Amino acid sequence: MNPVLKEAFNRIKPVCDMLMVCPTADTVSNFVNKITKLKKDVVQELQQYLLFPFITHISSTEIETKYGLQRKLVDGMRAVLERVTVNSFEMCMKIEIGLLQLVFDKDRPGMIAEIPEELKLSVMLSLTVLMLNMDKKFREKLMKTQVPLLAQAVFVAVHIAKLDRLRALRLAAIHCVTAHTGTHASQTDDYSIKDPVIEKAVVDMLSSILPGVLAGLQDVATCADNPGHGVIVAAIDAIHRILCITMHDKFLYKKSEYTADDFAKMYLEKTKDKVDTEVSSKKPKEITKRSPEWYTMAGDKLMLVTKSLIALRTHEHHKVRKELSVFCSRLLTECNTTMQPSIPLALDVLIALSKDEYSQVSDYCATAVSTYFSTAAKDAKNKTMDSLCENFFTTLTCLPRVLNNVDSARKLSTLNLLHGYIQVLGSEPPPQRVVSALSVHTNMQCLCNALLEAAALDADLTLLSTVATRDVLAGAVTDSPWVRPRCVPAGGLRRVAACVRGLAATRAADLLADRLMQVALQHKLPDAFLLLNWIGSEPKAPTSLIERILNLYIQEDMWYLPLEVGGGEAPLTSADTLDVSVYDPRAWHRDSVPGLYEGATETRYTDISYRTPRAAPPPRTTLREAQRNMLVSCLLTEGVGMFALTLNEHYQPYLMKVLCLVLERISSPYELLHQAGLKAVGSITAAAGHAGPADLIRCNADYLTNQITRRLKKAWDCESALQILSVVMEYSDVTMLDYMYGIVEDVLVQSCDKYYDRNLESYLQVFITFIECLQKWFKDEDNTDSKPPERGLDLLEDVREYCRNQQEAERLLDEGEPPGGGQSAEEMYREDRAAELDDAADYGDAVTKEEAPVARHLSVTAAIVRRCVRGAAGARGAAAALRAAGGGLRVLRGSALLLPLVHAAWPPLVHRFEEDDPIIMRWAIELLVTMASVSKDFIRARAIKEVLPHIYRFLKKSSRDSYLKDAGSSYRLSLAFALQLCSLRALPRLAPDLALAREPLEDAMHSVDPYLSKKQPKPLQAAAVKFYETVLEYDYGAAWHHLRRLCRNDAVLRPKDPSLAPVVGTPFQPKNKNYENNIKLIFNFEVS
Amino acid sequence: MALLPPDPVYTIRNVDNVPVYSLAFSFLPGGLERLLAGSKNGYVYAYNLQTNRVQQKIQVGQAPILHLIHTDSHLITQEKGGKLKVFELTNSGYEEDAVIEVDYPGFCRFEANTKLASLYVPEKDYKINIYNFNGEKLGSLEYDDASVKLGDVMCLKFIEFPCDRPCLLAGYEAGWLLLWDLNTNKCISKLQVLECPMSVDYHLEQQRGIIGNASNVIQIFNLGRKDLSLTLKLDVTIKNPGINKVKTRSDGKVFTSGGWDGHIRIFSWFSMRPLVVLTEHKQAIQDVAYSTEKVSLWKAYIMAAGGLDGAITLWDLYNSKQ
Repeated sequence: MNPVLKEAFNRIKPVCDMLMVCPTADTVSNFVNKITKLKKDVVQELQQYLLFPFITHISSTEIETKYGLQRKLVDGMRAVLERVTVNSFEMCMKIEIGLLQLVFDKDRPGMIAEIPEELKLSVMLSLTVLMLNMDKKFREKLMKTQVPLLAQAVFVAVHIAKLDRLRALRLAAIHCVTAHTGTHASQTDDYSIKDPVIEKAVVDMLSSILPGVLAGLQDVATCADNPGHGVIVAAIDAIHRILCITMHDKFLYKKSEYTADDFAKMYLEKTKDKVDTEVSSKKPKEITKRSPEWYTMAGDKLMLVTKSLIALRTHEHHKVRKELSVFCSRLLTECNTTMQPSIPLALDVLIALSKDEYSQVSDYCATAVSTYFSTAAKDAKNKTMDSLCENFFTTLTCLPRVLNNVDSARKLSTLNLLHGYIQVLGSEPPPQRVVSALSVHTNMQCLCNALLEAAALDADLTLLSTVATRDVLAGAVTDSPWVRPRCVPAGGLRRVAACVRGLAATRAADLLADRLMQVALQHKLPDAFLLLNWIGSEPKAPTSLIERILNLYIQEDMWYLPLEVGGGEAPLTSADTLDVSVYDPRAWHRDSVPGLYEGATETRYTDISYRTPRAAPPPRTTLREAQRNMLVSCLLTEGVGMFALTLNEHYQPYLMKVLCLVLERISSPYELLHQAGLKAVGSITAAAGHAGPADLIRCNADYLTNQITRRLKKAWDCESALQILSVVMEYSDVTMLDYMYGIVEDVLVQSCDKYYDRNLESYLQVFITFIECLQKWFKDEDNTDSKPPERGLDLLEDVREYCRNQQEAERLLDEGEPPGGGQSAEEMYREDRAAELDDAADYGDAVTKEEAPVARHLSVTAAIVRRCVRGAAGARGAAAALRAAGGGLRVLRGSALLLPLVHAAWPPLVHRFEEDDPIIMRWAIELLVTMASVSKDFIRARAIKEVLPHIYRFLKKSSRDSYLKDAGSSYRLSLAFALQLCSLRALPRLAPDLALAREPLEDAMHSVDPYLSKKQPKPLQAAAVKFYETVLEYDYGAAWHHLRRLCRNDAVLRPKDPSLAPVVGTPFQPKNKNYENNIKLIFNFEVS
Repeated sequence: MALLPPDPVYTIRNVDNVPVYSLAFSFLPGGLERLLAGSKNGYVYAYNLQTNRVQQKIQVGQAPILHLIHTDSHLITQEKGGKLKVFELTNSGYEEDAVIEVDYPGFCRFEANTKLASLYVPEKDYKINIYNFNGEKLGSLEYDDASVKLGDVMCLKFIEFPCDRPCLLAGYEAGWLLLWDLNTNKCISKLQVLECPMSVDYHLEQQRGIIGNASNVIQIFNLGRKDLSLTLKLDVTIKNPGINKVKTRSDGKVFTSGGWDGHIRIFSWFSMRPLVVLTEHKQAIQDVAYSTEKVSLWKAYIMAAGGLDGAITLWDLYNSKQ
C-alpha cells in the first residue's frame, strides 16, 4: 500500500466507521464531502471498502421504512460509484440486488414498491451509474449469466417510467432501461455497439425480453397525460435503440446456397406438418429465437409498436417529431428486411414530416427519403412504390373525413403526407407511377373529390359588398381575400396548392384538368376553379392545357355569371305585350325579316343566326348562388392573371380578348371583383414586362379600341364598354389620347342615336371622365385662371379715377349711345349668327388655304360639349350634361371654338333657370360661372336680362325660408339651402367676370343684403361677406355707396381737407343691429 | 325589329390611318400568316394575323398601290399610273426583282397566272400585254375588229378551265365583256353588259360570274361549258349605286360586293339574294379578299375588307360551324 493511499485511508476510515455504526443523514453527507476531496485513483483503490457500509445498510431491515435515510445512502453510494469503475462482480451483484430490492415489490401493481418518488429516482440514477461504470468483462458476464436479474431491473424501470408521474424519475427510469440493455448513449457509438461480443450478448438478452420492454416504452411514448416532450423523446430514443439493435438486418441469417441437409430438413418438416398441424400454429414462444421465422413473427408484432408511434407525427413539439423521424429513418436503413411490415408506415411518416415547418425536421426527413430511394434496390423500390401508391389512395379516400374533423394538426399532417406522396410518386422520370395510377377512372374520381374537398371555399355576405372608394392607381393587390378555405386550417391551402402544382407538373395534368373542367362547367363550383388556377400557375404544366383552361374561363357564359341577388328581369306583363308568342318586346331577333333593308340580315337560306342574340334573361338568383357566382368570378379573374405569368409570350393572342374583360372587372361596383381585376392586371403587366398598367394599356390600345367599339354597338354590351372606357381613362395618360379620340367620337355618334337613350347616364359619365382627364392632362394650358393683382386701398386714386370716369361719361353721353351696353339680345343674336356665317364661309375657304388645324383634344371636347348642350335641354341626365358641358368649356378656354359653343349652350341654360329643380339649378349656376369666367362679358347682356333675375328672385324668396334656421335645423340639409349657398358663392365670381356695373351690380348687391343679417345661417352670412369683400375690391365706390344706404345712419364723415364737404352717413355703422357684425367683418378685412 | 348586322371579328385600325387600296392574304410555310395591305401612300403593310399588328412596312413607291398579289415566292404590286413591281421573297426580306413600266392611267387591276408565272397587264387603248415575272413581254391581246369600240380595259379575271385551257375575262369601258383564249390569244366570246364594268369575278363550278359597275345593279352572267359563250343571266339590284369590287368565295356558296357607300354585301350563289349588308366601313370599300387557308387565331376562313376609311375589317361569316 503506498503512502498516499495510506494517508487517505486514515482520513476516510473514521468517517466510514461512523457511517457503518451510525447511518444518519449527517454521517452520509460528511462521508460524501470527504469522498469528493479524494483523488479518483484513491477512490478506485478503496472502492470495496467505501461501498461496504452502503451495501450493508441498503439490504438491512433496520432502516426499512426510513425512506429519507435510504435515499441519502443511495445518493452517497452513487457519489462513490460515479468516481469508480466497479471491479468486483460480487459487489456489483450485491449492489444491483440491494437497490432492486428497494423498489421491487412483487405484490404491488407493476411490482413497484410503495416508496417515495425521490427514493425511486435515486435508485434509478444509481442503477444507471452502476451499469455504466461497470468493468467491461463484468458487464459481459452479467449479460450472459444474469439475464433474469437484468430483466427484472429492466421490467421495474419500464414500469416506473410508465406509471410514475415525476418527470425526472421517468427520464431516469428510461435511461436506466437503456443502461441495463447496453444501449445507453454512453455505451454505444452512433447507436451501434462496437464490441461484437457484447453486442451478441445484448441481442441475445434483448430478443427474450423485447416484447415487454417495447410495449412498456411504447406506452410511455404514447402516454396521453402530457408527460412532457423530454420523456417522449427519451422513450422513442430508447425504443429505436433497443429495437434497431435487436432487429438489425445483419442478424437475419440468410442462406445463399442450399445444401442437401436443407432439403432433408424441409422434408422432415413437411412430414411433421402432416402429423402436426401447421407451422404458424406453433406458439410464438416455441419458435427458436432469432431464426428467420422468429424475425417474421417479431416484425409482424412490432408493426403494432410502429403503428402506435406514428400517431406522434402530429405532436406539437418539433423534438418529438425529429426523434420519430430518427426512429423511422433507422427502421428504413437498419431493419429494412426484418421490419418489412413497418416500412411503409415509416416511409409515410418521413414523407409527411419532410414538409414539416421546422427545417431541422423537414431536412432530416427529406434526406432520409431521398437516401432511401437512391440506395434501395430496384426491386425493393418498386415494391415500396406500389405500397406507397396504395397508401396514397387510402389517404385520398380518408382526406375528406379528416378535413371535416376539428383536429387541425392532423389535417395539416395529412396534407403534408399527400404532398409528399405526390412528390415521391411523381419524381421518377416519366412515365411516372402516379400517372398510371390516376389513369384508372375511380382513382381519378377519388383524387378529384379529395382535392375539391380540400379546396372548398367559404362564401359569406361580405363577398357581395360594394366598393366604397375606388383608386386604380393605389398599388398592386397581392393577396386574395376571396379565398377563404372552409375546412383547411390556415396555411393548409398552401399545401393543397403545392399538391395540385405537383400533379400539374406530371403527365397526369391533362387528366386532372379535364375532370376539373368538367366539374367546373357543370356545377360552376368555385373549388374547381381554384384548383384549375393552381394547375395553370404551374410553370411545368403543358402550355396547351393552360390555353384550354383559359379558353374555358373567357367563355361568355362563364365569365358573366349573374351577381345580383334576385336579378333577372321581371316577367312580362300585359302592359308589355298581350302574347309573348306573337310579340316579345325583349327579343333581339325574329325568325323572319319581312322586308330586307340596309343593315338587316337574312337568315333563311343559311345557318347563320345572329352571333350573340340577347340571352334569355337569367333565372332569378338566390343569395347563395350570387355569393357562389361572385367567388367564381373572382377566381376566374385572378386565374386569368395567373395564367399570364405562366404563359408569358404565348399569352399575346389572348390579350386581345382578356384585357377588356379584366379592365371591366376593375370597374365593377363589387369590392372583391374590383380587387381581383386589379390583381389580374398587375399579373398581366408583370408577365408582359411592362412598367405599369398604363404602359400595358398603351401598348395594347389597338385591342382595347377594337373591343370597346365592338361593344358600343350592342345595346347589351354598351354598359360594359363604358365601364371599360372609364377605367382606361383613369389609367391612361396623354399618350393614350390618340386612341381615345376615336372611341369618344364613336360614343358621340352612338349617343345621338335614340336607340341608346337608356344608357344616357353612362354616356354622360364617360364624357365627364374624359373631360376630367383632359383637364388633368392639359393642366398647364388650363391654368390661366390667375387672380387679379392685389390692390391696396388708395382713396385718392379712387377719387381721381372717379373724376376721370365722370368726364369720360359726359363725353360719351355727348357722343351718343355707349357701345354694347344698350344692345338688345336680339341684336346680339343676329350679330352672332352673322359671325357664325362668316365662320362657315371661312371654313369653305379652308379647303384651299391650309389653316392651322385645331388641336384634336379641343375639337373632340367641342363635339362633346355640343352633344351635352343638347342633352342639357332634355329631361334626363340634365345635371350630368350641364356638368360635362361646364368642364368642356373650361378645357376650351381661349380657343376659337369656345364662343360658338357658349352661344349654343345659352338657350338650354336659360331654360334650366326657369325650372325649380334645385339640383339642376345648382349645376346650371356652376355652368353659368364657368361660362362667365371663360367668355367674360360676351354673355353679360343676356345674363343680366335672362338669368340673373332668376337668381336674385330665388335669393330673395329663399332668404325668408332660411331666416332663423340655426345649425340644428333640417332646412340646412335641404337642397334649397345648398342652392342658396351655391348662388351666393357664385355671385362674387360672376360680378367681376361679367363686368357688372351700375344697376345690375346694384341689383346683385341688393339681393345679397338680407344675408348680412345675423339671423341667417352662418355659412350664408360668410358667403355674403365674401361677396361684399370681392365687390369692394372690384368696385369700391359702388359697394361703399350701397352699404352706406344699407346702414342709413346719420354719422358724419369729415374729410381731412376742409375744402371738401362732410358726408352724412357712413357704411360702417348700420342702424339695424342685425347687420352690425357682418358689416364690421367686411371692412375689418378690407382695412387689415 | 330586324337583326343588327354582325360584327367583324377584328378591326385593324392602321396607325398611319391611310386609305387601303388593295388586300392579299399570304400564308407562308412555317405558320406565318399575314395580310398584306397596299395603301394610298405607296406602302405595303404586312399585318401578322396572330397579333393583328403591323409586322413589316414595305415601301413600294409613292403612288397608291392599286393591286397586289402574293404567290409562294413573289409579291407583285401595281401602282396607280401603271408601274408594276415584282419582289422576290428571300431570306433577307423582299427584294425587287423586276419593274414593268406601263403607261396606263386607269384603275384596272392586273391578273396573274401563277403556274406559268405570267402577268396580264392592262395597257392604253384596249390592249392587254402579257409579261413574265422577269418583266419580259411575251405577247399582247388586241381586239382587231375596228367596228366595235371597246374603250380602255377596266377589269380582268384569269380563269383556268379544265383540259389546260387558260382564259382571261376582260371588261372594257364601253360596256363589253370579252373572253380571251390564252393559248391562241384570240377572243372567243363577247357580251354587251349594262355599263362600264368596274370589277368582274367568275366561279368555275357555278359557271357563273359577277360584274360590278357604277350603277346600283350587279349583273350575273353565264359562261357556257361547251362553247364558252357569254350570256347575261340576272340583274341584282342593290340600294346604293357604285361597286368597287366583286369577289366570290372559292367554295361557291357566297359572293361579296364592296361598294362606294362603304357597305359590304354578301349574296348567296344559291338564292341570288343578299344575305347581309355590313355597315362597318364609313367610306368606300376598295378591296375584299378571302383567305385561302384557315387563319389559326380564328380557326376559320376569313374575309378581309379595306377601304378609304383606313380600316381593315376581318370577318368570319357564313362559315358553317361544326
